[in-house]
Amino acid sequence: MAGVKLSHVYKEFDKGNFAVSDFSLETGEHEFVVLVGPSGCGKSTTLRMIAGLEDITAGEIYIDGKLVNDMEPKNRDIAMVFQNYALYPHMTVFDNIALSLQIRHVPKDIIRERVMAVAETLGISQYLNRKPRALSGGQRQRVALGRAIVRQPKIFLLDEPLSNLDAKLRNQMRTEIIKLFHALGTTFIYVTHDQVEAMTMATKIVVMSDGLVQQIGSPREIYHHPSNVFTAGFMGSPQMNFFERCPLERKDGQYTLTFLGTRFLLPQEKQQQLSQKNVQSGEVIVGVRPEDIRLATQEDDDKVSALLEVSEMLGNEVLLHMRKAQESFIIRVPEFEDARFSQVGVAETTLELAIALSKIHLFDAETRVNLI
Amino acid sequence: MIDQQKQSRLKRNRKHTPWQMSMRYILLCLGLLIMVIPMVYMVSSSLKPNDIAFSYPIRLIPTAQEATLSNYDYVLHQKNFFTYVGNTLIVATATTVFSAALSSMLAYCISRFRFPGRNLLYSIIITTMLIPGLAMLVPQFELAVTFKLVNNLWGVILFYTAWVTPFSTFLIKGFIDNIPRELDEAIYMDGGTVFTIYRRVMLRMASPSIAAVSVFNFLFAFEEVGWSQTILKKDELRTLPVAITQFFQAHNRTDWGYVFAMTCLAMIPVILIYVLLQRYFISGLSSGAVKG
Amino acid sequence: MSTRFSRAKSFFKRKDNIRMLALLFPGLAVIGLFTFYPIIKMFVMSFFDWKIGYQQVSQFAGLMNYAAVFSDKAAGIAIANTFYYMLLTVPLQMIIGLLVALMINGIRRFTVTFRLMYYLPVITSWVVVALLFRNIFSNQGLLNYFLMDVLHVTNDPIGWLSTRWPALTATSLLGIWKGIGWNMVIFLAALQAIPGEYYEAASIDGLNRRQQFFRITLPNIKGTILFSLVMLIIGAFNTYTPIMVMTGGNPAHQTEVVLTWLYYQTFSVSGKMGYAAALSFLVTAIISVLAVLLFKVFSPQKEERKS
Repeated sequence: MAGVKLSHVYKEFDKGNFAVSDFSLETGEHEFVVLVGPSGCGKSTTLRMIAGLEDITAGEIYIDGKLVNDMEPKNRDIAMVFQNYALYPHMTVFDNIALSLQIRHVPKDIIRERVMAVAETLGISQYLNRKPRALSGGQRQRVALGRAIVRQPKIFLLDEPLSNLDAKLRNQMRTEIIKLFHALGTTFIYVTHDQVEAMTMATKIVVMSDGLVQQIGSPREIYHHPSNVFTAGFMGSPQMNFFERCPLERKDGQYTLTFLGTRFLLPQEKQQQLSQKNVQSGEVIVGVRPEDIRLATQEDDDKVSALLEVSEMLGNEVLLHMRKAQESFIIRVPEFEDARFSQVGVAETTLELAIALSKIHLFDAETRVNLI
Repeated sequence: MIDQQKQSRLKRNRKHTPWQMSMRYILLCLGLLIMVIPMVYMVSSSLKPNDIAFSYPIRLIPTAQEATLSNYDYVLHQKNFFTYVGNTLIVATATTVFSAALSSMLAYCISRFRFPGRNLLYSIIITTMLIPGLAMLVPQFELAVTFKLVNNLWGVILFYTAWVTPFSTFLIKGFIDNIPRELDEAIYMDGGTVFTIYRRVMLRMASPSIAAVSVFNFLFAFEEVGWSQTILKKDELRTLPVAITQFFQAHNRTDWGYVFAMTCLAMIPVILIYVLLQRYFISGLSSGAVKG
Repeated sequence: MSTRFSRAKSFFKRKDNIRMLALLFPGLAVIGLFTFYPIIKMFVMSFFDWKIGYQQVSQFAGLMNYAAVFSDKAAGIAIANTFYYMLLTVPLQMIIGLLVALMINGIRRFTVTFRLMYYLPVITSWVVVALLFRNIFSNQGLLNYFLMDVLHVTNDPIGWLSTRWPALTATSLLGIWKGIGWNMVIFLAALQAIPGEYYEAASIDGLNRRQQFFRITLPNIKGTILFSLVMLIIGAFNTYTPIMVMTGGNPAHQTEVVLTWLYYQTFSVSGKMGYAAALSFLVTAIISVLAVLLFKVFSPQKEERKS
């Protein structure tokens, strides 16, 4: 059981071009860390640096307290699951799982015992004599996991392991990986571009973009307190609605915000937070999650009317694509609320909306960082 | 693999009129006649006595009274015939094994590592592919003299290996380029070295291409004449193709029955290899060619 | 993603570098010593009146050897013959090979049988088939018999191998006959690699068979055509055995090709090695220029596709 520590790690892949810049992270001993970000953000490179497949341009990586910068992968006590499984087509499932032990000259009977145990855990015992070609995607994925588990490493690295599976299998394997994480009690570092995987599996999420860490935190923190516009937009589906260049005014100690053609007095909690940070009048970016806008009722004060363009029926809920002047945005409402919206494409209706002001996010227009 | 099968099945489902179909079969069969008649003629001539081999009318299939194995008998009792066969098999096998080893190692390194001089090495390999082996006759002969390789089977084996290795490397490299790097990396992370990767991944995964180039290298070494006749001057060192040309000249270029008996015998190993390994003739060659 | 970066640059550590060198070295040594060094040597020799053997002094000859090659009528004939052989064999075996591949690709049964049989000449040794064709084209051979006694086109046997152009044509026919199978196999593989969806889409778009061939099939096998073209041109310049066996360069060096002429100059006459080296170098230059030209002609589209 061990943790990983990266401090100010850089990876330069061309002169002056950095795949990863100033990456720092410290994990606990039993933690599921997910590196998430769009493709090309440097998450895989970071993982490969931890694995030792990629040299580090600057900075230090520690595994279990030991500096591993110059240590070969095989001595780092890590195992990795690759995106395309990296199974050897000419070997049986048994040999695929046993290979790493065979290379290390582990006695045959011990290999047998450990492979059997792993196969048992993953429910692939009956396939041990097959070749990978004869397996389904999910089974191959299990074999790939088995190959990592059999080494009994301190750290598991997983590079987009589920991206080749179809949606249903992906959900299923997600649960199984979580179970495995609890059973093994070690640290998992998991790379994905899928924010759903990040939210559901992680104990700690690292959001990356352009080689830079945008935010590190628990799924809850990341979702409710995104540190900047990028994180706010990346996590959550459908994406958070952003309204650019909205005037925020501070007058007599009171903050008012104008967006969607309406002037809002911010609720008490936001007022306090803003004045604590001593935020001055200026233009801000307003972020509102789709579920924080609802259809207005009689009692609501600040109603916003907008045009319904398209409605998407998702089953238990409906996504309404709205437009007001130049701004288009999406709201998410429960399906039972209004039967009208469950029909596809009922367009050109004007709806009255209410915004949960206590849940909106305010970002600096220049730095795009969360103001609160 | 599965996709390919699916595709070819899809293609087979394309509609064809019966007329088109039968035209294709007819044309293919006509072509086949042109391909096969010379071969049949060779075999049948080898079964005819020399004096009637050229008698008119020429019959493709000898009659039962004509047919004789005397030509084969004569050839098989030639002094050194089996020595020629042995020499050729030694040369072809050694060339095949050496070039398979050398080219797969080179291909692996060129495909996977960025070492200084890599591009230079690869361009040298491409360039040497372009040059006919015999075009370097003079300097190579001098080299052979220097290393005392004249009248020495090694003189043939080493030069053949050097001639075929560039192209083999080129083909195998193309194949290895398509093997996912994750497979090497997985072994590397598990504690394997470069050797482990070469042995466990490359030799196994690239085996179709290695087998394909091996088949071609074997055939090349089995039939080469120019260099072999230059280097191997002693009769007991001759390889079969050279021996055949010598035999042909020694028999006043007329005793075709003997000559064809000998060529038929020379084809037996090739046909055997062809039948046993036929899938490699096709798969490996095409893997390099389709990519271009 | 990370595939963009050169992973291998520093992928392996010191010990592995030594291991990699161990894998590289044998191949490097053999190619370097037995092909690369001779190429350089050949280039050097082409400027000398090169002598082989004891106590022989090779005199620097400047461009004398090249001048000799250029003024030598026989060398010109050999080069012209090689080009004749190339121009006849390369396009014809490609076209026939492609046609056979198209037909085999279009039938359902016996595809393997056809493939195996058409491939048979490819695997047969050059010496064997050259002797066979020498017999077939000889005065009392199968071809003359066919022309005289079956078709009655002529009353006297035609001396196919005793005059320059018929002899070269006979040799070229051998080259075509032997090469069809090879072309068929690589084109068949290329055809089978074209996704069936392309044809389905094309037939829905209303392209007829001809249009499908020119708009879908040909563009998709372009890489293979280039590959085949380069290989066949190299092969045409590599021609030695068929000429040696079928004509021996006779009559009077009229049917020599580059390699047979080179061989003759090196060993049969009083060892004109410098001359042979100069000729070799010229041949190498010709092949390289042809190869580079081909890649130039074919590559612009390739780059477009990449970007």
